Amino acid sequence: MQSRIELNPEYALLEVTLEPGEKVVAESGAMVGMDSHLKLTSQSRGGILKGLARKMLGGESFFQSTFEAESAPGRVLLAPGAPGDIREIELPAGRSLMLQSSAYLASTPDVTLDTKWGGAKGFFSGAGLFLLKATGPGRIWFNSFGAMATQAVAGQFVVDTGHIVGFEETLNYSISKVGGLKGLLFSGEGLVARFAGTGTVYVQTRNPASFAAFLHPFRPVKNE
Amino acid sequence: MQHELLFKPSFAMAKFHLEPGESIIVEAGSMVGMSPNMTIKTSIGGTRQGFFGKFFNFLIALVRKFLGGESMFFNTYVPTGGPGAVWVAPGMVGDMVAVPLSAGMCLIIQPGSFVASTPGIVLKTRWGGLKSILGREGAFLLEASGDGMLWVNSYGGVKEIQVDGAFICDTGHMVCFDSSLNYRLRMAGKGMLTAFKSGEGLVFEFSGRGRLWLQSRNLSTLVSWITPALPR
Amino acid sequence: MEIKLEYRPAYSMATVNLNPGESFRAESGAMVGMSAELEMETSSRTQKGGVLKGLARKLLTGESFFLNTFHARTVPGHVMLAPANVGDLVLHDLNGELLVQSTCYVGSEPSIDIQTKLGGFKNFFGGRGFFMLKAVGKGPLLLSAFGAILEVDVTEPFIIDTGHLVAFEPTLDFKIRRVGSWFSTFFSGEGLVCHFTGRGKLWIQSRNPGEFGGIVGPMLPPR
Repeated sequence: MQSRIELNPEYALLEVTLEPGEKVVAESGAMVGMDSHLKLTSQSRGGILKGLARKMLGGESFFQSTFEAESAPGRVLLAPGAPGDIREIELPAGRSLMLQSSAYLASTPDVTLDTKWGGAKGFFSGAGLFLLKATGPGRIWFNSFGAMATQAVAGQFVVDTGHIVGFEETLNYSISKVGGLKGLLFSGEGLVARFAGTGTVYVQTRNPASFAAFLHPFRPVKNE
Repeated sequence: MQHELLFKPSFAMAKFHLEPGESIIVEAGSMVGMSPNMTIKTSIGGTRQGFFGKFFNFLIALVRKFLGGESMFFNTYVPTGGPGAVWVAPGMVGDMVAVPLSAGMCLIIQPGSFVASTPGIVLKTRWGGLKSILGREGAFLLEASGDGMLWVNSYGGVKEIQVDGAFICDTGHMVCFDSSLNYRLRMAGKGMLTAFKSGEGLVFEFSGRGRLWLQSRNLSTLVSWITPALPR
Repeated sequence: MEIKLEYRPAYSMATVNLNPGESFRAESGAMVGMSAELEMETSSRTQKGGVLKGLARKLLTGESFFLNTFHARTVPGHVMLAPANVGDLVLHDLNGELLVQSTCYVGSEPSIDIQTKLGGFKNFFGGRGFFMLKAVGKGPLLLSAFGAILEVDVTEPFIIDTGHLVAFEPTLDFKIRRVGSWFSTFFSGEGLVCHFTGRGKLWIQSRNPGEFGGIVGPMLPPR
């Protein structure tokens, strides 16, 4: 399996070339194009009901597509919904990366993805955004809204939760509101994470909540 | 006419410098700046002549404008009393590509991707039929032929694929392709359920030989990505 | 105070390094992260504003104009700032006055006075308000652009689409005009333009937020 990230960092595109017998799993909706002879199937995480429930909650469905090369090699091009960068990392066996749900793009089938991981209550104020736990071994590709900055934490680091792409599970964190009532009302998010310990935090230089607040006035108005 | 593309590949913008007698056709709504001696003439998509032709064009343009998406109104910029400049940028973020066309060539363009063309290019709105509506491209495709230069934009970055055999692409990621390619609308994967669940609902399957330009971002996935973050 | 810009030109982010006793003011919602030692003061007033004026601004344009001030007290610290939309940032060394399109203001040295000079016009065909701020004083001024930033030296009259305006020097004269007749304004999609005369610098952004919002907005669920 070969992978290449192109058109980065602005509108990064992932190209995966599969040898016969190889598979790659991707977030549903991520396919840009592929050689016709590849086999495309889809699954939902945690069974069909759980997947549908999440879709109805408003947004992130967490269905996945599996691309497989059967008798001949083939390539598949994948891209996320947000404008920004893509990063590839190799996860050693047993090591985990926490990812903001919309940051997950693709992974090799041996990576386990836990979407029921409940330890992230209150991490994001929007419904439909949740934390995903990805455990190795295997390769994982994730994306950012905006540029992706790697922040090595040694001590303390405060970051707006909307700017978090992911972080290593070795870090401890606490969530607090910032700006009081005004913060939540007018800037949308107002939640920060205070990280402590040692590990890497992947930060994105744009915030979906601020972008959503920009788009909000352009939405169609419901007819009463 | 002189032309230059700035800010590639992130937020490309074109600068056109026109001599007296020259003109450029530009998608409505994409002007960034211009010299005060430029005149703008607005016309409606398509080159059908005659009363019914013009009326049909008008209807198509209105339908497109209110269906949301590409308006299919074109502005022709002509300088008066000396040379003039017009600067142009599309609405979506991303790149722009200048594609030269010569007699015998024909390019099929996703309407939202058209930015500008020189007067020698003939633009026709082609009713894509049911194919295109289901493909979420809207009901129309744009066909460009003739002699001159064409500018298209990509939402995101642009990737050119040489199709030689069979290639499938998501409908929202298609910018334009050589008309020498055959295309067919298909459900991704086997069966309806797979297509719905996989998100790759509908795709174009290309066969034959020719160039296909893809964009690395897609409006539908932008919408599904940002929706959970929208205030209620 | 030292301000560094990174990830240009598409997703620019500013890191403001503050020495003890220094402060920096930024639009609320612009904070990406900061060192734990900084103190963040949230304020709903501009110097001559007050809470009510702030709210009024929000209603007019949908754009809130609340400011946070970051203070380094006894130890140095840094704050990372980014705007809402994708694109570039420009750091302008202000010494005098500059007119800034409201959505392009990110932050400034607190001694710079930000006046909401209401040269405002509701864009009839976009529903999106447009108004200018006036920055007066001396010090660093951080501006954002939707898209790339182009600095233009105006020597001859030039017309700019209002949605593409970032900032301009007050030595320039400007008139807001419609393009052509009412018919052509509606169908040409061009709406309002700014006709500049005189001499001075202006900054434009290579994407138009109103145009972009008009494409994506209708595809979103209704509000």
